[in-house]
Amino acid sequence: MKRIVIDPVTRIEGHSKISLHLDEQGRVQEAYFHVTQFRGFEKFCEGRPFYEMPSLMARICGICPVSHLIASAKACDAILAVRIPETAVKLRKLINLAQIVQSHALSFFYLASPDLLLGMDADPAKRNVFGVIEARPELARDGVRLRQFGQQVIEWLGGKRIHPAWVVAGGVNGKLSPENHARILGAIPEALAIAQRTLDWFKTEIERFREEVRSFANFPTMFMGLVNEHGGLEHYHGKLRFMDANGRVVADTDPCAYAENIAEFVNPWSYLKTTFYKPLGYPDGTYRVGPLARLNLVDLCGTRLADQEWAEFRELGRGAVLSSFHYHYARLIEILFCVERMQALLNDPAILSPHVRAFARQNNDEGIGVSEAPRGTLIHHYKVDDQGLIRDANLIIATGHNNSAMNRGVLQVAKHFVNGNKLQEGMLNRVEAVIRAFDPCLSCSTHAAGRMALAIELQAPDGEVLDSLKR
Amino acid sequence: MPGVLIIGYGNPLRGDDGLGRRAAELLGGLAVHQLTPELAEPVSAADLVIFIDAAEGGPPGQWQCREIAASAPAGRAFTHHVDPAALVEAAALLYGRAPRALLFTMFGESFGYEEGLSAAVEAALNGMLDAVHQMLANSAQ
Repeated sequence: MKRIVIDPVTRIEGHSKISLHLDEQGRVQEAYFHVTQFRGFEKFCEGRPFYEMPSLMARICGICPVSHLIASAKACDAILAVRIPETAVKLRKLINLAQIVQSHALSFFYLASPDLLLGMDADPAKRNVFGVIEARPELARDGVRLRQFGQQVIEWLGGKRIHPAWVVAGGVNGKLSPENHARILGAIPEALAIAQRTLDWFKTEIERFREEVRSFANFPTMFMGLVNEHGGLEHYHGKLRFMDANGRVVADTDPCAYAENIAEFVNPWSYLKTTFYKPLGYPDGTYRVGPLARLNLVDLCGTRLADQEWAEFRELGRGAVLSSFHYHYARLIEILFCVERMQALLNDPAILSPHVRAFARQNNDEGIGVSEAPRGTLIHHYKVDDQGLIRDANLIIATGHNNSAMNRGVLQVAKHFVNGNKLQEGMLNRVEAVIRAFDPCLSCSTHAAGRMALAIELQAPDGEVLDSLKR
Repeated sequence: MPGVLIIGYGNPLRGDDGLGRRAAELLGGLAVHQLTPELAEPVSAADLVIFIDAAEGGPPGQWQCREIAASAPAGRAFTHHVDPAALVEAAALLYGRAPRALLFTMFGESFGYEEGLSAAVEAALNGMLDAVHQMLANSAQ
């Protein structure tokens, strides 16, 4: 048995490695996606006052801190037993949507576009954001502008781009000023235009990736995510929907009853837990979350331009779109939806109301907050003692839901592309690229920081190095 | 000062790595955790960019200033690591303009998990800031 190790997996958020196990003929038999970080947020927040949790949990991530703010604050709302003011809901939605825009922009333009523009087999020295800047500066400029848009909105709302302390238990801690309202509205048209032309460009490129579409985690799984009361696209609050691979709704559930529907377990080769849909057990209950899942789950998006794009997107699969390569496409549609939705929220006069926070003392010993992060469903579940100190915290992170599908996807791609008798860089890039399609946030999902090494070796069982690649 | 952009970068939770941000805050510049592609646009709009950072490998508190020439990153992803030269090059490629760029680097003593600067860096900080002010005054003439 030979082993190929890809360490680190590049152009993703966080630290991981992939190991491929080959038989004597050099065919891939097994593959593992190892998340090598461990952080321990669930443990070291024990004993902290619950109202600190939103700011504490935001520190899980520098890319999607707003997601943790939202889910955490919702859990704290439940501990307070308050219904937050409608304007606070709108403002939380606004910052959540802005974050999804900037996070999806990071994923598409900075991490994935080198493969999508330059090709999976392009020279690794050029196959990066700088290569995109050199080859197609207008695409790179659009990515930078879109990311700036999302981050700037977060700053205008929350006071800073990363870890804003604005979302709190009971609502948000400041109203939206007329000046910032005008600034955000003024920035919408450019963001819409960038989203639309990027979609128009990418749709013409998909045909170049037929093999990748066929092999990138393209298999039946369930899908999970929030939908609103009309079955529409929803990132803040709603029903937690489970759908099968044929596009049939299996269940619309109360997100706070997640423990009845979702189970977790630990794999010995990774710090990232795996989840599955309990009623079907594992592995039949494997499901995916995030942009691809959300666009499968919904009956409509709910905004004009996104609905047009969504209708075209759904033609890719009868019932459900299964290939994880199409996460990239779904991400772009979500950017479009988010910007449209932001515009609608800003056009509602109620968003300027000063009533943005409900105040109360602790009224419950437990709180659950569920929202849609850029990468999928995020669950924060806290138990507190009589003093309001955290006794127990359970976080189920978007990327964790996708762990099983990512592992299977790595195996599928490796079996399709990797010839174990002769390593070629493009083969291994595709193994990484299937992970990139999921846009995992590994720092979020395991809560540590690792160190970067850079070597790929093909070793015989006795340790002799048979072949090697370095980037 | 019109046309001048000061960018100090580093992690304030890693001891002396927070020097760049502290210096930028004192100079009224941009204090950021790391250099990112989004900085290319403001860099391109400046006439002079002053980067400030801490480094290992020299006597703590000793600092140096050098000119930065725009250049593409050699074999790097430009996502997890962006250096001043690559950022200036990105400004030229994306926005058609690369300003004069200087990098002030001070050697730190401690980069562990801690807040605050070491005594050696703290003691040398004002001297470096005075040099930046002098540089700005010379540029204005």
